[in-house]
Amino acid sequence: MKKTIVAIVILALFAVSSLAALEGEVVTVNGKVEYQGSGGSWMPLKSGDTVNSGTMISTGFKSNATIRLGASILSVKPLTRMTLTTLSEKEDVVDTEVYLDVGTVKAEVKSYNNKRNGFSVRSPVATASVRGTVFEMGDKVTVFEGSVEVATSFGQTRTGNAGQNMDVTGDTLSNQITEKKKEMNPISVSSLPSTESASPVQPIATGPGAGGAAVSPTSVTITIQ
Amino acid sequence: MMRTSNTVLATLLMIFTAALLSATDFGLELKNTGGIEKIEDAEFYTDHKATLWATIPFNNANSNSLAIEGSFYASKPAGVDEFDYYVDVDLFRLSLTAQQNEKGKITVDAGRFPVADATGILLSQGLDGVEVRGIRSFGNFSFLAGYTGLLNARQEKNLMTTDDVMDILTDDIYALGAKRAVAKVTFQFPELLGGADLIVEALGQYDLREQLDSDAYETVHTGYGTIAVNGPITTSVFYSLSGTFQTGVLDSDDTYSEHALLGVARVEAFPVPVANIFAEFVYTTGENDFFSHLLPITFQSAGTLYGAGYGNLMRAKTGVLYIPMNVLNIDFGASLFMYSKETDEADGLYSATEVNAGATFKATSDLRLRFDGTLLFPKDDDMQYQAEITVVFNL
Repeated sequence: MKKTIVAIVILALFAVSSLAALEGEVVTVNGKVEYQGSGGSWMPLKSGDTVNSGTMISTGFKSNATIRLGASILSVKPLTRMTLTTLSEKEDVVDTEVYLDVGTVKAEVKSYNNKRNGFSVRSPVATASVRGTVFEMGDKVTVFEGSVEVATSFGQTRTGNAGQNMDVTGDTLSNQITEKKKEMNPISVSSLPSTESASPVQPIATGPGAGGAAVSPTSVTITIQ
Repeated sequence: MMRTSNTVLATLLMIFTAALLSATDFGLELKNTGGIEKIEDAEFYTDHKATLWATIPFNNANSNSLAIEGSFYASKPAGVDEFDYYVDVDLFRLSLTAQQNEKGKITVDAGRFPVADATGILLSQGLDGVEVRGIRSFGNFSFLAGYTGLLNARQEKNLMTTDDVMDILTDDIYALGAKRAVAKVTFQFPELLGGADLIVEALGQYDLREQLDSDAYETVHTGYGTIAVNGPITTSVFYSLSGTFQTGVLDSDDTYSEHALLGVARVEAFPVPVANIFAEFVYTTGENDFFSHLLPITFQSAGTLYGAGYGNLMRAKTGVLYIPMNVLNIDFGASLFMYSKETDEADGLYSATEVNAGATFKATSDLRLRFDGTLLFPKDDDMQYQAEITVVFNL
């Protein structure tokens, strides 16, 4: 009888704890990394510190930090300012949301307690939601593992696979062949305005190294498969 | 009182002009090409082009702007002793963002600007007109309408009829181009078929020479429907396929139907980040009971020294671009030209082979050099060659 009561109490405690807000743990800190306290003042962030929803983190030049959020790892690159807007564990899902003001973060998203992981990174120009994927997000999304579905703010989607980059600064997402050509960065003999193309449709019959369309920055939403 | 108003007005005008000039980007590009070409005899040729350009933004986001280019040309083709001089307005593009919200974006280009069709073979030139481009959740679309009659015929090769060729044969510094109305509608659906993009395009041109030129010799009206798909085979190998059906009417001494097919297949690979290899096959119909030659709106030769256009052609082409360092690009290419249907003049389908090699060198951010060498091996003629150097200097 006692064993049964103990088991019920343990299960109840487990159930309660599973609904509680999670805390993130700072794993490593290099250089000048600070967080904004409740009073608005900036305080140094140290290894072993905990971070909660609402914590704003800033990294300086040649500085970075690694934070464990549940089972996921978030690497905050130099010259980045981000806010951990949501970190909570619900019945069947762990919700993590990071708002990226500026800079670059790398997310390695893993399942926590066998629950669905709703992990998203938002920025003024992009939002990424991931599960079981490793990616880096700044001006472009670099996919290290899995596949990434990128949707512009207008709802257009493209899928990026491991090893591919997706430029998230444009109105429309270039296809992968255009991205590959842009990454090669071939020398253009002329740099006149007429050589710039605003059309997303690039002619098929062109020579090697033909550049992609020039794009202007706008809002992009990213969702990860 | 009147004097005060004028002073205020003049001051405001000066402030506005100063603000506009401070945001304006402008420059001068000098492009000089010289080379030797041997088709029958070895001849030197040279081209000099000076282009003044400016871009004027109307807002901070640069979503509304005006871009202008004007050029002066001095050209001495191979086999000609005297220089040919002409001027052109290469670009006068007013770009406006007409609508932008969560549903999408509509932009408008108006004026004179470069245009191309989905294949790059049918239309590839400047055009006076309006292009409306849209971005929506389903994909991208564009509507283009324009006129070719105000273009400089020497620069934009609208060579569809005998009259078009005659337009170029003038000593005028500005030769008005073929009188044609051009329209194009393009829809692009990203990743509609698995990972493949689907492009559907309708293109057409209406010859206005009958209406605008009383002594027109012949007119031709054509329309083209293109379906193209492109997508990945692996993460570093990609394919493109396109098929085009041309229909049209040539009104000359008699009336002829102008039906033709154009097919393009291309595979492109990026084995390492600094190299790009491609293989491409182009097919166009020859003359038979139903089909005629492909008649593109813009004339382009199918090779560098191979001067014939894209009618009655099978071309297998391969090439590589290698970037050993940021300031140096090297490229090689080879093309095999065949007729798709035997002609009375040629025996057999094989026509010629062409080999190209080139290098682009970025000496400084403002100075670029391009070296090109081409060999052509025609089936029934001696080998032809061309070697040229292009120097581009930006001020």
